[in-house]
Formats: sequence, C-alpha cells, structure tokens
Amino acid sequence: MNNIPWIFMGTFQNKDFDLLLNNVQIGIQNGVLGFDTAPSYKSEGVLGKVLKTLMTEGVVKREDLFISDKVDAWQMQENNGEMSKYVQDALNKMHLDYLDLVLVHWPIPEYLYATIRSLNELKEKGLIRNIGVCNVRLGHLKRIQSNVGILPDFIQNEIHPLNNCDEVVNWCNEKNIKIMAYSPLCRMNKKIIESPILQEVSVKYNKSIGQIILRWHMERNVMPVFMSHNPKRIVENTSIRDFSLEKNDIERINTMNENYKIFLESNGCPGYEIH
Amino acid sequence: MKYIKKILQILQIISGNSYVRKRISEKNPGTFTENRRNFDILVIGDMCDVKDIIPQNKSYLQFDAPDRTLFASFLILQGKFSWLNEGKGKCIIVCKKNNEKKKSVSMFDIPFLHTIVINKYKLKKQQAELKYPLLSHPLQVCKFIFGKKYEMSSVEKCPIPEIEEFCAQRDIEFEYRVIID
Repeated sequence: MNNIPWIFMGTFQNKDFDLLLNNVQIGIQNGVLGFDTAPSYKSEGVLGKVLKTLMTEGVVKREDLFISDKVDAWQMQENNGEMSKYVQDALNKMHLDYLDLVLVHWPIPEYLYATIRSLNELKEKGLIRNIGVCNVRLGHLKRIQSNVGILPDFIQNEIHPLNNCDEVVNWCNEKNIKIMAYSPLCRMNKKIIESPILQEVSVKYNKSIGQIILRWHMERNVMPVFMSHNPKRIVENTSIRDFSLEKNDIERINTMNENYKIFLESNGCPGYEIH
Repeated sequence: MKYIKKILQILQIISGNSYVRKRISEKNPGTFTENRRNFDILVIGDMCDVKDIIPQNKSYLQFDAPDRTLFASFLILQGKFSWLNEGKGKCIIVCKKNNEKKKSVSMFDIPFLHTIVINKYKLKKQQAELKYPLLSHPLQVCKFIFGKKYEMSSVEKCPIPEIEEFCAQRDIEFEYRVIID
C-alpha cells in the first residue's frame, strides 16, 4: 500500500493545466504526495494529466503518490449505488490503474450503503485501495458498520478551529480510521484572522496563523487538504514539521469551536442525518 | 423602425426575465456569499409577514414564494435546515389551506432544490420554466414581485406528520401556521 500522506493538496475547480502543474510541482518539492479531486471539481482529467507528465519526467513515481477521488451524489442516484462505471471512467480520465482512495462525497441516505458495498467490491478487485466517506457524523459511521459490516478506511470532513468535529475525530482516531480535513483554514474567515487565541499562539511560535492551524490538525492526527494557487503559500503551508504545539495551545484552539461550516451539510445532502 | 421596436421588445423580455430570475435566486443565499450561520429561525412557505412571529433578538432566514405548497416547503426544509443553529433552531412553515394537500413544486422552488431532488421528482419542466419566468408564469411573477405579504394563523397541527418527525430527528423545533387570506 502507498504511504499515507501527512497533507493533501486539493484541486477544487482547478482546471488550468499549467497552473496545476506548477502547484503540484511545488507541492511535491515540499513533501506533498497526496492529491484530492472529485467529479464535481472538474479537475480529475487535468490532475491526471499533470501527474502523468510528472511521472513521465521522472519527478515522482506512482507508488509514492496517494490519489484520492470521490463519487458524487448524482452518480450514486443515477446508478442506484453501483459505482464501477464511474470509478472506471475516473481511472481512464486520470490515466491510472488504481486509485488510492475513493470517498463517497455526501452520505445520501437512500444510496449510502449500496455505494459503500459497491466500492468495497472494487477494493477487492484492486481498483481502489481505500474507501472513505465525506461529511460524516458518528451516526453515519455506526450505521455503515451495522448495515454493511465494514467501516470506511478514511473520512473527510470540513474541519477547522470553528468546526473541530471533536466527537468524530476522537472516535475515528480510536478506530484507526484516517481523517482528512477539507477547508482546513476555514478559507481564512475573519473570525480566524482576528482570533486573539490564534494571534497569540502565532506570536508564541513565530509562525503564521495558517501554519498554526495546519499544525493543530497534525497534532490531532488529521490530514489537512489545503488549496492554494500561490507558490509562496504552498511553501508556507508545508513548512509545519519543524515545530509542535503544546497541549495547552491545542486545547485553547479547540475552544474556538462554534459549529461554523462553510459548506452546509443539508445543502449538499438533502435530508442529512445529524445523529 | 418596425424591426427596431421588435428588437427592443425582445430585449425588454430578455432583461425582464433575467431580472426576475435574479430576484428569485436572491431568496436562496449562497454559502460563499452569505457569511452568517447558525440562524435561530427558518421561515419557509407562502409570502407572509413575519414581524409578529419573530422576536426582535432572533436571527432568521425567510424562503417565501407565492402559493408555495406544503410539499415543496418540506423539500426545501430538507435541503436548507443546516442554516439553523444545530440543536437550538426552529422552523416555521407557512401555507395556504388550499395548498396543504397539493404535491406540486413550482419554478420558484427550483433554486432551493438539489439536483438529486430535481431528478427524483422529475422537475425538468419547472427548471425550464425558470429560464423564462415572465413568459411561463406572468401572474405568479407579479404576485412574487408586488404581491402582498399575508398574515398567519396561530400554530396549528401540520397535515404532513413526516415534517414534524423530520424536525424531531434533527433537534429542530417545528411550527406550522396557515395563511389568513
């Protein structure tokens, strides 16, 4: 199995080949080996092309990369949870033989279990190495376990100091389910930038607020999925392994939680189950 | 001259349609354009005057449209309840008596619905109507833009018990009120 990355680069709506090639190259130079996409991001094809280019040039090997894709709600509905067609399409688009991870983008109640079963079959066939679910609560994970008989290998939620998902993070860490955080910096929301806690911690460690938050994720055993088109920011976001946060500072950042989400769950998943 | 008049009329219709579409979509806040979260109250349903039922210190969002059915309001609630403060939020659904039993969805409801809901209930026609709202439903558009805001009854029993159940499962306080016409 490919190594599990410590950080991922997201590709949300990044369709520009040259821009993505540059970002990915800078990312790889700075230790980023995980790349995340989804059909709705419209970036599967271009990410595949970028990675193929870099593999052909010998910049990186396939076995060093960890490529994560998703299945979207409309796909779950269109084929009643039978996912082989879409996974094969994604592999073709990305010029790959296998995906390291396929996540269910939204836990649509009607199709969730059938989708997990189908992805599990594809995992057994070797087309997928890991299965995951995005935007989950503890109840989803427990119901997946009781209805399908397995737990996902990964979850991916919107996690940042304003929405720390404590309950699900602790549970997944106990069960050895890997946790990814999208929007890990809450898009540098005003409440983040102006937070006295983050400002103080930032001064204490002589790191930017972004670096402090990304390190906070690492301390909680969460892999941030960051996105940036700015080369300097990519270098900054990946320069977080030369320090660690004291327990007290982690706890102070945890107190910032106020259930603030950029992406509202019911918007992406009508009838979303909160328990 | 005749052609110029025709062209101007067509342009007026096109710009009128796009204005109405914009007004309809404005009712549905985007998660990137609206920074506020954790609202106290959601009001969904027909066009109503909320000033008497929303306490001054409470934050609220109102998703209203003319003659919105109870069925459509439930679909909207299913997709929009995450705007509420989890565990503390309240939803008020408002409907006219004669729209309680109708299982219909109108073009005004489309911007609030997820693609999978549009597919499930086969709402392509309403989706198409929303492209030309002035032509497809001129009277409803006038009601939407200039229509009066109705008053509401006191709290009543909701004729669709599933709504109450849905809210209870998500820790949402639920209230149903009828329009006084």
